[in-house]
Amino acid sequence: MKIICLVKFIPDVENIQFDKKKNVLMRENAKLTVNPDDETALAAALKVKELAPDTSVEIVTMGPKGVTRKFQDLLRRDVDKGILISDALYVGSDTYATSRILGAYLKTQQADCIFTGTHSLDGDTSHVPAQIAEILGIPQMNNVITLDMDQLLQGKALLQVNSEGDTLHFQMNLPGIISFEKSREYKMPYIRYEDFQRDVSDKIKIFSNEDLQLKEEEVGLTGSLTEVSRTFMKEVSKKDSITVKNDDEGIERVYQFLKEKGYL
Amino acid sequence: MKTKDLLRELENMLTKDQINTDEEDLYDASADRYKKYAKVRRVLDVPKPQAIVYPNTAEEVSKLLKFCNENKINVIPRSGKTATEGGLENWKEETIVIDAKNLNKTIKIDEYNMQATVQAGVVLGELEEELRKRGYTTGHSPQSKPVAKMGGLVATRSIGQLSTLYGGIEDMVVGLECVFPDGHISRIKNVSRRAGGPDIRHIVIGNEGALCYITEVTVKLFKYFPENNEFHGFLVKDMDTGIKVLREVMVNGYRPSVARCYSEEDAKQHFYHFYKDHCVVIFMAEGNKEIAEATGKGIEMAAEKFKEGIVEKVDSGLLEEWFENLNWSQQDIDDEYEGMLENDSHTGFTTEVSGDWETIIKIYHNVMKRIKEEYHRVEDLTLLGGHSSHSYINGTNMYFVYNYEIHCAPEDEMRVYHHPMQRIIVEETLKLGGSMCHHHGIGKFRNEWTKEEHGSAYYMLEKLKESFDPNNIMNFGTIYPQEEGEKYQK
Repeated sequence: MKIICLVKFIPDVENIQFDKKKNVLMRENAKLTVNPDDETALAAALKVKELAPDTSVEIVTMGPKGVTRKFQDLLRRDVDKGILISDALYVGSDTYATSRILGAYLKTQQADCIFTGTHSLDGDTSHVPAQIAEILGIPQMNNVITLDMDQLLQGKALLQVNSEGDTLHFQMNLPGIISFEKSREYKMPYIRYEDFQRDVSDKIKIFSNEDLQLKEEEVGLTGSLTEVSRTFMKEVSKKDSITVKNDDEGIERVYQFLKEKGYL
Repeated sequence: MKTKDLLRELENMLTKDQINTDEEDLYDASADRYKKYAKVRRVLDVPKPQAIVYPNTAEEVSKLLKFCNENKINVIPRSGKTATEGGLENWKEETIVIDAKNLNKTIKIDEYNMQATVQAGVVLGELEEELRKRGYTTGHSPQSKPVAKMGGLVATRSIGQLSTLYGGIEDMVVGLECVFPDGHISRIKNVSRRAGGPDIRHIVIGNEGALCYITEVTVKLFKYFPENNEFHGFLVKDMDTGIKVLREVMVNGYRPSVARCYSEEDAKQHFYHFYKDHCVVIFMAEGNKEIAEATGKGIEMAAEKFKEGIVEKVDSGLLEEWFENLNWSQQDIDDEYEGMLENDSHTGFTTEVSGDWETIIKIYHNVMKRIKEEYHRVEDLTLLGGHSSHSYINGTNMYFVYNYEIHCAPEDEMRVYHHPMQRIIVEETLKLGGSMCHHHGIGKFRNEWTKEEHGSAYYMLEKLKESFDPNNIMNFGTIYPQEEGEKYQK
């Protein structure tokens, strides 16, 4: 069985720094991390490989060559092959142009299954998996929580899907795109000490537009159907701090505060 | 000796309820906080001890040690369980842990002579609570105070948060009782001072259970004046300025109980609500009113001298609040363990070193530079910083702190993350003549540098081991490097 995982590297929003004076995010210092939903997808793929060692797992990502180091860490976890799609022409691609680029690569491959995340933390449109499915002419399902591994190995995708709090069960024909949501069900295997500095560069293949042969007007800003008209940063202002005592009054005040802010 | 035979022998010396062979307790006793993550994830690579025993008297300790010495059974002395450097980790198949749980009596609180005598298993926090009711304090206040026990504190040469005024535990111990592997019980009497040959207390204080077992200690008492506490704090432009302010206070003869300087990164985790991306220097002045006030003035004068580097003063109320919540309890430890089960990360790995005033800042900058340039997983670090927290007339310490996301298997964590950084810190410190271990002890994971730490004086340390523990049964691998233990280190 061949599984291709689509993986996106996003800024690590939990550790992003904020310039309080200029009221802007300090993007240049932001670390990259694997999109959590995509990580679950890859963890599920590696679980399949653990059960059926002859499974081939390939990861595909789009982005600047700077992601290579993070990409290598994924390859050190028993991933067979990594495809990095990177070309200056692709900069500024919206979800449609991105789907077209990824679709162009995937059309050249014969995967039994494509795993990916449902949402990405930075964009959060969920457009890409469905659009790729459209391009490839195969089925796709979002918000997958678990899939039956044994059935998958027999060529059948039985999926448990989160539908706004309800769990629904679906069967999907393969090949198809299974889009996971972040869950603890599938956990990425650890990199072992011996593998930490292992050279995996021979597993990486970089694809540019020379390989994919898309027209300039199909990709990047010109190939995009949507455009970002404006971005803005939420204004942050310093609030006066309030100190309360560890007594009934203090506890009540904290409780009411958390309730008011929607945490309780 | 087979466990079955060992237990039969132990039952000849102790009652059944003094012998613990509970599997979970033995697993817990096989490592300390050094391998806390691997321990929580149930992947420890070290053997479990065969039994934990709880002697009731020094005589029972004597019998146990003599028996272990004759049968070459490794002994891990334990009193409290807050060791952080592997001092309580087990490296031998044939091992018993002698725990001071039953040596838990406060023998005498002598208010007139200002000293308190307690058995090794007395919890410092409980002693301190009793003393404070009477208007006294030991002056010893490590973060582990609510759970750490007196024997362990003395054995590891512990230091507390108020050390700049009261000193480390070595300045507090008046006398003690300890038992050697041949069964000999030594009592070092309680006197105010003497010139009766070398100060033999220092053979015991800091021996980390590698020479003898401490059963009783007598420590000094101090009058407790919390109402006079003053808090002073400053945001400073860099660590260099902060260290200069600390030095200025110390060399002018002031003794604040707390004198600390935090790097920006470390300040962020402690003082996120007021640090404003700057280094933070904090002080607490305490003692009787006149001394506390004079100390406070000395601190303000030092800050004034370096005003070019002072960004602003910190509201003392914020500092007071912070100090009140500094200690961790058993609940905090349990919560931390829960967190490590849930997440591939944990907080709080440190390496603490010391040096003179001139050297310490060089060590700090060299370490920061090397870790950022050389460490192969630097992108996994979520915090890299440091603080000075214990100052002396001639120098200070540096507490390097680092938190990280863990991307390796739990059993590999130390090798992938802690060890490479610890190595850089120790190498840079020793290179410039500092000490690689300011207050956590050598334990088992800095023993590869014990010889370098002591240089030609290692001869003395070696002779102590040969004389007191010729069969090498005391806490195998602690302080003294052992080839057999290397498999657990690397």
